[in-house]
Amino acid sequence: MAHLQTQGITKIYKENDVATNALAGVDFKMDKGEFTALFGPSGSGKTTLLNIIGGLDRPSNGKLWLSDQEITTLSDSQLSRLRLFKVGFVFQAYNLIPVLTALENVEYILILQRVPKKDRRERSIKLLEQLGLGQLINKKPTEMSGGQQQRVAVARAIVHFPELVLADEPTANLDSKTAGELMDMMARLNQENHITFLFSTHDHMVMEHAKRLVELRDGKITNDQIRN
Amino acid sequence: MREFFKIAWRNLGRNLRRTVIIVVAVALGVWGGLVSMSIFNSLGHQMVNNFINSSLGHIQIHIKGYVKNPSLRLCMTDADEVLSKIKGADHLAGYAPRIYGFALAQSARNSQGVMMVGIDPVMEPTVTRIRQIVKSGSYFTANDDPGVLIGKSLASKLKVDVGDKLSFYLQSFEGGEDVVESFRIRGIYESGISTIDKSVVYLPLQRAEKIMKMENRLNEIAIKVDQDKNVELLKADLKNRLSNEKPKLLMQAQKERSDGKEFDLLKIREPGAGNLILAPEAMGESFKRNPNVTNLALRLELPLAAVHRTRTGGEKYLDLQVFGLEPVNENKLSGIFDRVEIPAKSWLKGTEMDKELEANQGWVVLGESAAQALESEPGDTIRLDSGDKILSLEVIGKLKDGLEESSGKPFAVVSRSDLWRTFVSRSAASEVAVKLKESAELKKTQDELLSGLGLEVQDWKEIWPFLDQYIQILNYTNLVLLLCIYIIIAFGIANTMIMSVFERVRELGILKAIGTSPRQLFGMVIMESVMLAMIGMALGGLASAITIGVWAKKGLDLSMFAAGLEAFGFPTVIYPMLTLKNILTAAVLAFGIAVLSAIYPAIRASRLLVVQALRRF
Repeated sequence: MAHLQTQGITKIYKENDVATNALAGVDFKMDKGEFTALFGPSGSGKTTLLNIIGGLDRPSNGKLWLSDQEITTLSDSQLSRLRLFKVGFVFQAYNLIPVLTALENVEYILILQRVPKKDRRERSIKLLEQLGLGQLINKKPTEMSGGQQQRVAVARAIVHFPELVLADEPTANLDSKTAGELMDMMARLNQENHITFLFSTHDHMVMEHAKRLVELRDGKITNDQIRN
Repeated sequence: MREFFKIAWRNLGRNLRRTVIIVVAVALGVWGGLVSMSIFNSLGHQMVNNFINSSLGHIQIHIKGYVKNPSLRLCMTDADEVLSKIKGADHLAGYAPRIYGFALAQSARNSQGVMMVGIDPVMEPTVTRIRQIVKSGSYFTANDDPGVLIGKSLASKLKVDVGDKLSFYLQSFEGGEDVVESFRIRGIYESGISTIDKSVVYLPLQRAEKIMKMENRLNEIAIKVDQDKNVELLKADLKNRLSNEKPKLLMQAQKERSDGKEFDLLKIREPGAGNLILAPEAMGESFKRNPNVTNLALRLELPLAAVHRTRTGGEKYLDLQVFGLEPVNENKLSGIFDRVEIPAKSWLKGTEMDKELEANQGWVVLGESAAQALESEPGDTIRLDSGDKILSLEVIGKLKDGLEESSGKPFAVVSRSDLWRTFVSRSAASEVAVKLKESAELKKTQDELLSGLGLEVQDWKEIWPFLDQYIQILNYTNLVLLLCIYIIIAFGIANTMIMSVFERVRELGILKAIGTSPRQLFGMVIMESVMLAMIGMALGGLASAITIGVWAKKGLDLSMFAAGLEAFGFPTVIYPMLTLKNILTAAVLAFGIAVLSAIYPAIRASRLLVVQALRRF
């Protein structure tokens, strides 16, 4: 079985008795170690699909497996544990916890996982240094640039060695140079550490970095191609 | 946990102005609550101390039933023995024997009902502040000092001053006519408790004993304990020491009929032939309180020689069983005086004989055979002779033989008071006869009568429960006031927390997205609220410690309300104090309120839908 597999995923939003099909039957597979970009115009369902894959939202129909575990049947608290142990998130607006320093933001996930203090601190510092953020470990988000914040967000997303990192338009708020650096960094983590990335984007530069491109239109996959 | 604590703590600093405002509000509330608590506390504490030091003492000893029905006759009949048992008790700081009698005090210009309290001039100051509260004139110097001490309010009501004379109409232990005594006012006191100041007159114990015929009898012993905390210990010790003070009595019951109705008649005696019940009035007074007792009479029976000088000049001698009875009480019980035969010309003819005889002394009713043997007729004088004492009596009538108690021996009936005054020298009875209601359960009533005897050792809370209730009311008032303040604070905290959660929906959504459980989010919000409250509590506590500390040293003058306060024994200058219980109550309540007021925002935070939260900016 694939590392990630969806089967007939649909998502219908109802607002004022008007139903909107955000996803209209998505069948999608992904193997471990992939570096895949979901692209498509606004409203095509990229974020919705990522939210469902990350257990942040539930599909209206269809099934979803992550490393052989069907997650559409999990309870809220089981989903919470799944997100904690198996998934890493990078959001468009960085979304670091403003009252914590870079180090504390990265450490936070490990605290939730009850990793011993010494171990988690060492791991977090090492990772931040690896990502070129060694100077910033005691800085709070407001003291960092957007690119720096997003790199800390990536560190937070991977510090616990998740099965899958989901990044929703990670470069949307960054200038092209910073965006390029971030993508380089993510690509390097994919190559060197074999972390599986699935990110959404409509930025061509980002797509350039992807090994596989999956196009989504009107809630359906319309194109799926492997890039060399 | 530490991480959540850290986040919660740092969140407080994000909107510093809002945090400061709510912390100051909590601090002010806590300050107000603690300060008012301390004032109420000291009002209650000082009031109780005032009562304890003015008259009450910590513990009091009475004959059972006295506190409910204070009567001169409900007294300890062997005061010296009781006092000797008290001496040497652990934690005993002082004791004060007292006699209480109601009286009417009359000056040249006014009169007032008062309580005459006989106090031991030396012992009383070991329990109360009596010596210090005499503001003009002087305190007693000896046990038989003449004069009385009266309260300032009474002095102004009677329009008298030190050195003036007051007349008192009061009852003695033996009842009968009021005793009238005059005293000069030796001193005027101010106890700070208006009820005492306007009604209590102190006189030396020895004088009170003489006037009220209370030699070796006491109504009350007030006790002072060395430290407040030892009241229970001393009480237990005293109870133990006085546990044998309950008399061992024989109680014989028999069925009687009267007007076609059957009832139980109890005869209570001291064990051992010829043993007398001394001061039986106290026992009678106790029995009378029982609702199943309808009538009661004291009987004194003595074997005495009777001598009659006959009209022919000879002397007739006869050994008699002489019954000393109380005519009115006895007649209600046995109707014996209705059966007395009197000559047609007797001064008793046409009168209510029992009442007439009650009011007169020096009479004797002879049994038929006794009258015959002594050759005595109504109007004759006979002498009762014990060998060293003689009582001369006028024969007023005859009774048919067959008086049950005489056992067939010749008998005579006289007044009990004549009999004990002449032959016993102190009030005594051979038996106390008690008539019960027809409906009374014999066994139960017997037990009640016996258990109603003996001594009672009570602490101030038992004697004057209103004092303790007042303290309870003050405590409840404290609590209600604190709750009111805290409820207001709770709305403030709730508002702050709701705003705080509302502003951070997206951030809370992120925390949830990356794996924070709903329970952890709930706890984080509660923690933040508790921190707000605890900082406020600490500041408020500090501020109140300073305020209360200053007042406790200098005193808080409430003299502008003095007239109203003194009536209840409240002090006019108070020294606020807080107990550990107050502080803990305030802290626990603050904690509880903080948790409660954050529950709603905490639930909101824990139930956030991540997807919706992430859409918020």
